Amino acid sequence: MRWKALIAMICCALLAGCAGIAGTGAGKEVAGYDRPVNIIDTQYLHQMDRTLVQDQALSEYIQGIRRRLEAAHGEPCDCVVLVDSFSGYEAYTISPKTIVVSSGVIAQAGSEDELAAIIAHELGHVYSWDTFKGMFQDSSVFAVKAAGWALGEGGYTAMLDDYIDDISKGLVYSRWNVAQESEADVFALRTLAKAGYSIDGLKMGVRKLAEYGSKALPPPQPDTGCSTLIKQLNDQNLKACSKQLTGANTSIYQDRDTRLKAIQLAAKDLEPAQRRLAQGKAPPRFAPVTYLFDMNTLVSNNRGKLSRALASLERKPIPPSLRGNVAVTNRLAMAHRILGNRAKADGYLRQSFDSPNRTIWTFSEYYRYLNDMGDVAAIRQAINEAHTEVGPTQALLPMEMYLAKRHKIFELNLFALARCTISVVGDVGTYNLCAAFEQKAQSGGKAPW
Amino acid sequence: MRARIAQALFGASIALLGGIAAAETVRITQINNPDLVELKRLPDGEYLWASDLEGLKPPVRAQRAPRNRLQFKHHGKTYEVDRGDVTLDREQALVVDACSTVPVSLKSDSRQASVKGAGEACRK
Repeated sequence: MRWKALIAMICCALLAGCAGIAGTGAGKEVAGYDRPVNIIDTQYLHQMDRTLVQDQALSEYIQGIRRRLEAAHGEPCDCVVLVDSFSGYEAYTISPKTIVVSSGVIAQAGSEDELAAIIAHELGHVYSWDTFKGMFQDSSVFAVKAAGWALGEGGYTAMLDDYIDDISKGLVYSRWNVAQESEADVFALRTLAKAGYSIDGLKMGVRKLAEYGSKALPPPQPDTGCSTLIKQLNDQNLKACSKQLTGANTSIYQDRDTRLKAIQLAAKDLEPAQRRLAQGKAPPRFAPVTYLFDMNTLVSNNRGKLSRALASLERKPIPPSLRGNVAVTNRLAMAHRILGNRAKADGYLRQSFDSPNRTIWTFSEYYRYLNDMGDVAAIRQAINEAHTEVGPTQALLPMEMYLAKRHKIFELNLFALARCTISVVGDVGTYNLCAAFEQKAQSGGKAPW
Repeated sequence: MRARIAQALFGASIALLGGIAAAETVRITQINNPDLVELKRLPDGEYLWASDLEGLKPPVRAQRAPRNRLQFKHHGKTYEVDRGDVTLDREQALVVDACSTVPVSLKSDSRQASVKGAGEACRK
């Protein structure tokens, strides 16, 4: 075991790191974008289980707003603005090269000014290099999760769902400090004014973000005993307090009224004509944005409502630019699975498996499927593709360890072993999960997911 | 001929509905920081701070105006205010909330056959 681990560690080092740093590495040309889209940043998107909405008209429209803001600022940002598949009102910055606006923002923006304000705020983080001050800590989030969850039927899947949720909330709501947020608001205000956008769009954007965020996170609560529990570290306590430890339930945004007042105060320094400019017309409607927003109808509290909503959604054709987008097929598959329509669920899942740009959830389902099929060539290909599309993330590592060991894929087993071994430093939870999965594979036991 | 009349009637109804929508009445419940909010007086276009308008105390009835503005009357004069500077009744309707937003991955809950929203607060 020792020599294998040593070789594996050397291999891992030679393979230039186990996970990419956001904003580094190569970019790829994507239709509708005037600059390359950073590949590692799209992997982060897929780790959050979100996908890029690749619609040329939409991308060009959004990049047009970004260019207008850049011109007003007087310095190019070397970044792009992506639109993700999430239907809520959120925006975030992955790296100095990638800003993301959710489809829900575009669907609900009352004017182009509001949309520009959301982008301008994120540009503020990019120009001030905030992303380097608060690196995206997905590995530490996973470490806490891995330490707190016991294995068992369905246990790993539940943990994965929770992990995806936490990294998304961490990136969107807890990345910056209050000072950085305030500076980004003031940057947005001045840039919007120079670009000829109404600052009323910023006020509306801030109010909508606050309103959305108030239900995205639970209301602040008094310490439920975690501060005491954390002192006695064990699996149960870690699980109970994982959201507190990862900071996923904490927003660093100031309250709405404080943010608005700061914007209004800063607006007093603008030229009267800039301050008084009214908002313009609503953004154009884009078919993929409308379709993704309509998927909100799937939220339901009973079988009948879900069944009707799903039937209504399926009567609408999927817009061409969303065909092959797993954000759509994954949700349709799960909705059918919840309703017990196994054949339909499997059909949509197969579409997801065959799609490009798959997410972490898609791969976890795909791994399960391939494990049952026992197709070694397909497993090898899937793991390699996962490392390209999602990146070599810890969240899939125990599953990859199991597959490589059980199906005797030597080079992947070595790579997984190296990554698991490295994780022992500061992340015993992941190491233990790897060991448990490996043991199951060795003994011919059922995969513990 | 009948078709033309039907078309004309349809057009008139649309225009009427449009007119009703344009003149939709709302209630301003708060002017956020009146000393930092500028109002435009109509028709002369003069600007003044809301805090300088004597006796202005919400709630105030207002009508939606073009370009996301609201018009209200005070002491017989008409004023226009930016939508972002005021709070209206039923303010929560600004955006579809997280509990009514579909999550990125739906959790399999075949026991209840329901789909919970994306918000942390509504998952329990």
